[in-house]
Amino acid sequence: MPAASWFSALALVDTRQQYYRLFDIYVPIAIGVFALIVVLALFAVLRFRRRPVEKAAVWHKNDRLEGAYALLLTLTVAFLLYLTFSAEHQVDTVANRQRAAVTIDVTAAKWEWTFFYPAYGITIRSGTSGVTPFVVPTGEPVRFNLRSVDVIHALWIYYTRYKHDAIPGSTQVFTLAFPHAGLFDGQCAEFCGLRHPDMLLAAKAVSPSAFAAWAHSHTGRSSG
Amino acid sequence: MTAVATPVERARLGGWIGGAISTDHKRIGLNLGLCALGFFLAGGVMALWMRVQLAQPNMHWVSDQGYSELFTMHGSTMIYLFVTPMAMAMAVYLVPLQIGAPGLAGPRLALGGFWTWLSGGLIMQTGWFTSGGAGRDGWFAYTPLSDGRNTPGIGMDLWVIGVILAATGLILVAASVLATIARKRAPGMSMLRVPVFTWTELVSVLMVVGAFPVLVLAMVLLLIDRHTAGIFTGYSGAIDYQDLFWFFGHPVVYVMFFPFLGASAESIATNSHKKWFGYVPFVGSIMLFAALSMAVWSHHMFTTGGVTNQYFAFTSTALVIPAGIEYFDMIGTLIGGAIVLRTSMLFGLGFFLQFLVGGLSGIFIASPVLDYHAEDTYMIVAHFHYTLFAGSVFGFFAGAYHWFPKVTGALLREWLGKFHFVLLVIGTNMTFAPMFFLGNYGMPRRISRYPDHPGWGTLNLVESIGAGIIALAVLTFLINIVVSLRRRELAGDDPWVGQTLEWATTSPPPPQNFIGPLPPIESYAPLLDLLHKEQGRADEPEEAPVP
Amino acid sequence: MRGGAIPIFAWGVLLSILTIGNAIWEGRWIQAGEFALAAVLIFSFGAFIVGLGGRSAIRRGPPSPSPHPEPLPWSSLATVAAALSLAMLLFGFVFGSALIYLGAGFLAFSLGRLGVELRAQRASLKRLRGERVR
Repeated sequence: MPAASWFSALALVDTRQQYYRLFDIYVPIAIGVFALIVVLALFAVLRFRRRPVEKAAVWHKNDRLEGAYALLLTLTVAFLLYLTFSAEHQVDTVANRQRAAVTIDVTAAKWEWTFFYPAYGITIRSGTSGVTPFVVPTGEPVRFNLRSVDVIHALWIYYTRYKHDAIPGSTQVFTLAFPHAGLFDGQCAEFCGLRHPDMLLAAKAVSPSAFAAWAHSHTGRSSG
Repeated sequence: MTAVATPVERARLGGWIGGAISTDHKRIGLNLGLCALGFFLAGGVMALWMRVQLAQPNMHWVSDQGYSELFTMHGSTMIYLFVTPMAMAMAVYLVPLQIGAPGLAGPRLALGGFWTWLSGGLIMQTGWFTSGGAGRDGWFAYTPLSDGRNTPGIGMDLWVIGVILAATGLILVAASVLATIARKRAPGMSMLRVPVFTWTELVSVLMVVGAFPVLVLAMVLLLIDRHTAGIFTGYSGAIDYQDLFWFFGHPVVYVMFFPFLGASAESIATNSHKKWFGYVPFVGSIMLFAALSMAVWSHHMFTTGGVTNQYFAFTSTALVIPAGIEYFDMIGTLIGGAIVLRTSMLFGLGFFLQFLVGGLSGIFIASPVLDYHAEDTYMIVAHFHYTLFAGSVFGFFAGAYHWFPKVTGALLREWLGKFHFVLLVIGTNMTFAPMFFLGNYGMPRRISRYPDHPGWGTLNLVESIGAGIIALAVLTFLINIVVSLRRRELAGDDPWVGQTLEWATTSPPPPQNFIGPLPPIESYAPLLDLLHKEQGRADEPEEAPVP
Repeated sequence: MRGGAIPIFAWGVLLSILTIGNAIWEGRWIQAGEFALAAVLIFSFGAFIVGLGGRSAIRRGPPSPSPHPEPLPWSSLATVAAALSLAMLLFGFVFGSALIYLGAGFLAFSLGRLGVELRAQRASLKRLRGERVR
């Protein structure tokens, strides 16, 4: 266990951290652009209101200015794409290359989640029958193999800022990390019929040693 | 323009039947627009029902199944039966007038298209009266949930058939409009002298012709799948369905955007007494915008793992470029103008500024890592209501106040219009702004009820009150129409100092649109050119002086 | 009408470029297929416009007055009947095969009447142009 923790700690992909890396740039840019355009429009409206019609300008273009502006927009797009591609590479590719500390097979069904730990034979169910948290270690890559038995569902653990669809006929693989201990809510995020609002889940993150203790004491058991 | 022939000399049918089978584009446009408005009101009632259910946590005003029917039919009605057909209605009525034509090319296509669409809309709504209930798997009807095993019943079948007919009808109407722009322009009106609104309708009908047939295909396959099984099977089947659906599902939102952008642009230009700024870059940018919009569809599928997220993140983020050009042109039109803040102008400005919130949030979710959190939450609901409602519907009202005098011969009351605007701004932002925050706090979409998390109840209550204020605003609009038609203030041919050819004829226009010769057409604003000549300003520079 | 097909073909070219980009980057047949279908539909419509109007449809410049009279029909009952029979036919898929047959029958009849209408319109135009009408 120690070797895996050391190795993964170097490259631990944290989806929440990747989300905020982008969020903290995208949102200020958006707010700035919005404020600029509102100010320009309001200024123009107030400045050029109540003028005689003969004063209205005849000019109606400036291709050089517009061309320069289009170039600025293109550079902005290039910048946003660089940020987007590098974050997406981390979350979708690098994360799955990490050596997982624990793997959980998740099965979605109407209207319940089943979390199965193949290494320990533990099964936990959560959903319309009630919420039973599944346990994960902090600070280490947790691999999820997500399947569905009936319709499309989506696993969303709110704290991680990540969700993924569970589509029947496939196994969707992704890797999440839980840097801090705690109880993290989640729910199904793809409309799946009548009791979609009740398909709740929760992840309980504990230290790796506490996780190991839990796994050994619960080996072969089923709950929820 | 040219002589006009009728095939058979017979007495014209008047009354309801005459109006129903008329091939006059003004009659067809009006019929299509009025029916779309009726569906808007129906869809609005469904929204109010949903907002009552969601006003507080854990309410049981509506059953879980009832709620799924409501959100499905609200979305379907608004998209298939209000905003898209209204965009086409405005094209059918206004495009021939703006291009100086006596009528549509292929008017029977438009007439047949209207009736096909209307039949589809009504058939879709009959689902409400079936024992199993109306369509209830969202306006997108993902498989396998929408198949015969998971959602049996004729209500869902009626929904599918309704969509097939509605989409087919809209394709026929669009084909007629496209042929009209291609073939019926008045002498002197080259493509680069076509008005801004008509250009926005041109790119819209191109998208309808290119993308809507794929929806018809997807729905036919879904209908077969529901009754035989074996079409959308397994993982690849589910992804294929989404690929087919969203190939239509993304362009349609641009069909629901461009004409209202065009209406707002015409209103802003007219009420600034200036030509729309940057016409050629604008035309180029909307052509690029529309083409790109055909290439972004799988950004709706980022969380499926079944598509190459990078390609679609690339095309989706690239939309910043044409969108930015449009905002540059709006500012360029306002500056140096002689601005009159009529109701139509207020709605036009409202369109641009509020749509921007939707557009910027769209760039946010164009980034997969940001979308992995935002997808299927109220952040998405906020995004598309800002583009479609705070955007397009405001653009619709800009067009309505701008062109109502042309269509009816009467002016809409300005003070009622301004009251309508203020109520709608308040109601819209109260309803949809909190949704960004609710989504960020973890509220997923398409849930009939939610638990008592801190803040959720309060924000939802604010939204529900906002929805009520929207209803009052729409009611104000309807009252304005009734009052303005009852005690008419005559508009005359050109109440606004209009720039385009529809203002060079009577209000309403005669059957063949124009009597006598048209004014000379030397740009996309022929009447404004004429005014500048009269003012002796025709030789002033076209280029804006840059400080 | 001069130049009418140019924006249609131009947009078709944009679509084709994006289709190729998609095919290279994504490479799934259904995506490239539906995208190519859209491009084909657009190019076909452009070709149809050229077919109707001749080569002037792809030449730049303002249109000149059309020398021939153009039709402006008042109404078309046949069109409305065709649309409603199509709806009846599809409605029959849910509510019973009687409606399917009835709808198909009415549709065939309506399309026939529509054909008669269009032929009469063409005959009128020919008469106006002084051509011989069969």
